Amino acid sequence: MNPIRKIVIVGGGTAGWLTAGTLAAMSRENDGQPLEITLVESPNVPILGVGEGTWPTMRRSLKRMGVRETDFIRCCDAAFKQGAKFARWVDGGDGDYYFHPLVLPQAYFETNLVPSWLDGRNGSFSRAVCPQEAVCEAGKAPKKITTAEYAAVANYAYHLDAGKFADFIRDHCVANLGIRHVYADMTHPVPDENGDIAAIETLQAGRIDGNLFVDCTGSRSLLLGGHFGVPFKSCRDVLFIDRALAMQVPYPEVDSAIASHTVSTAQKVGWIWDIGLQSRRGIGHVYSSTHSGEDEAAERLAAYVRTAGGDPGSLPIRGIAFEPGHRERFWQGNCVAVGQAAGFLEPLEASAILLIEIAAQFIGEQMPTTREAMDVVAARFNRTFRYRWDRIIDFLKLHYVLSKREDDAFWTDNRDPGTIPESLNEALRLWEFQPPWHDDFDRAVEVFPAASYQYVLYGMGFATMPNPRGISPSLSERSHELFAQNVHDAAAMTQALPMHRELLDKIAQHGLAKV
Amino acid sequence: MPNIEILDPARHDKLELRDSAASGPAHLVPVLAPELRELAIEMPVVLVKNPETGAFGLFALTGFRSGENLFLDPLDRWQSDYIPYDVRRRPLIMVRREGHPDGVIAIDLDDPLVCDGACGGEAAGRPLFASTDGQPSPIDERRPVLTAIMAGAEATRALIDALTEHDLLAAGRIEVSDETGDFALEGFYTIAPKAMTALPASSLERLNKSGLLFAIHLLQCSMANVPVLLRKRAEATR
Repeated sequence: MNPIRKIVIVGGGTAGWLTAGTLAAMSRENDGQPLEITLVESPNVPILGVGEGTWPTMRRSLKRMGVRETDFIRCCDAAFKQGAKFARWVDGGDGDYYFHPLVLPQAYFETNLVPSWLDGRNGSFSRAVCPQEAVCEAGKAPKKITTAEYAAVANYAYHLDAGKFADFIRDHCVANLGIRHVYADMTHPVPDENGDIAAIETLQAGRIDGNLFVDCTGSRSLLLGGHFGVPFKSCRDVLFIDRALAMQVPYPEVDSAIASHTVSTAQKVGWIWDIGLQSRRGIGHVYSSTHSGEDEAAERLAAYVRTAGGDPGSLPIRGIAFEPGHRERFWQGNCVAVGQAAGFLEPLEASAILLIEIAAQFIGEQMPTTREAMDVVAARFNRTFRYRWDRIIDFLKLHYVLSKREDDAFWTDNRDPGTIPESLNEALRLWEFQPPWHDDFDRAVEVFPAASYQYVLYGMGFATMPNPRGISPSLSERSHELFAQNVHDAAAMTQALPMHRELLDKIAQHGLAKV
Repeated sequence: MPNIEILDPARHDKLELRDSAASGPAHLVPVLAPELRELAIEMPVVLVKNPETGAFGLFALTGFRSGENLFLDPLDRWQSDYIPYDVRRRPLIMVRREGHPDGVIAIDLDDPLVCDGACGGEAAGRPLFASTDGQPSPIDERRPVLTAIMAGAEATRALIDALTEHDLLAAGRIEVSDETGDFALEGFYTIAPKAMTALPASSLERLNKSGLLFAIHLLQCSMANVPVLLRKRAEATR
């Protein structure tokens, strides 16, 4: 029997440190002799520190590591995120927008509100079924200063400075979770007789042995891709975006309102993200290099920044090139890749940090007790994450498939049937006749709930045919009760919640209580 | 809204005070750690967050709905053996002023106890500054209370800090039913049921030495008054 005791995480950044903290916290919770975790980080590789969006799962991840939400918000320039507003995605007009909020539709686990909403079709779907669009549009925060840390009035995630976040989690992990932090450059992995990795050799710290290696080396994927040669599977035939230009834009005034949702505005080619941190906005443009040159993209970004009240000429711009896709397998032998080493997609639904969290959680929950158990865990991990990547790719593609924009080949090419995965085609054929509901999906491992598909489909004007068997009086009555309840909830929450910046200022000054 | 002025014998010498008056829409009375010993055997003492800052404050729970004070008789006189400082100080209050480290006395002119000129009617008032029938003046009666409030603030802060530092608090909830239906009182905090047993010995020793351990036990014991208060409410509304 070969027990698993030593974990070596190669690479820092958000992926390395979130994985380290999650594995350490879970092991300390469950194991009599907790895992020995070493994180080896190059002193020379800069961290990609763009502003990023998370999912609500981040609250659970931080809490599990024993982080105070107050400290996190203060140290990571973090703000609250209540979902995303998609502007100009359908026809590109001024009034063209919809929300994908984080609060589920009213009575989501009991009643599907789509048939009754389609029947009446009164305004925005998300506004009809959930109070969060109203809260966001009013500039309100998702909680109050009296709400406990990590508790919500309206479900929320975060916008954060990824560079500050990696530093913050690192300091916490080293100080509180017993993780050994080594600054060293890996020269090469040392193979074991059975094909596993026995150790890594480093320039500054010599040989570091381990039973399980986590590859967090970013797009270089040094262990999984480099050492094991697991091939990369590009999905650029489905999702064309492969370039990003990013800027940090100051607020016009010190007390300018901070949006509590990501704004994603479609462009002639690609789209622009706009996320509000405490001290500045992170604005960036992703586009397809097949459809646009860098100069045109930079001009589109500059035009957006000008309308946002910024002076693009005075701000540095950073370009990032990436190949969308993922490794064909994520866990090979005794090595599992997390973060960009596993794959990367455009940040349309903030899936990058989410994938790190759910990978770390899977590894932590299923942490093999022995090497003998590892191959089964690895096979399951590969099945689950291949399924998750496929669903995320489908979900991102859905935004493009439902667009009616004609202003560039980028949009019409995106609707070419040859670029749409069969799994998405099949789902769309079903949704033409009946709306997404829980059992369309394998809920145990699902990334996006049926509600997310509902928000995007009906936000973008997708026409599901009415049920020829009609809507029963009881379903109709219940649905209209829930619509009325939602009108009430939206007004009550908007009235009771503070402005987003006001709450962030109060947290900076007074902090939130743990309870 | 309070209307607070620094007390000035020249300006305020015509004021009279009633003996009693309802204190407004409060079912929570701010209290201080040094009062816990007396309070805890009569009423629940809980923590409530300041709506502006989220900071915890210490309060006696006197009712279950806004404006409900089950310790007042029909003439708004307190019926408890121990009456909190915050009730006895009214309408006076200490305010901080530069050059006065101990604070200066101020008055809330909108407190219902205050009558500008003679109170008249049945609830005859007493002049604020004058002693009557050998009784000390209302202001002299209140001076020691105001001093005690100033002195108790620090101990209260220390107690609250210890409660948060050691993660001893949990959100509370009290189910109330009456003829109008059921409702729950929320938005207050008490000692978490298992928090004390989970404390390491070193923390217990520190809390004991600083005298806070006893205060925490008093807070815990004070919750035994909840069912008593609920019975009182049921009798009062019958």
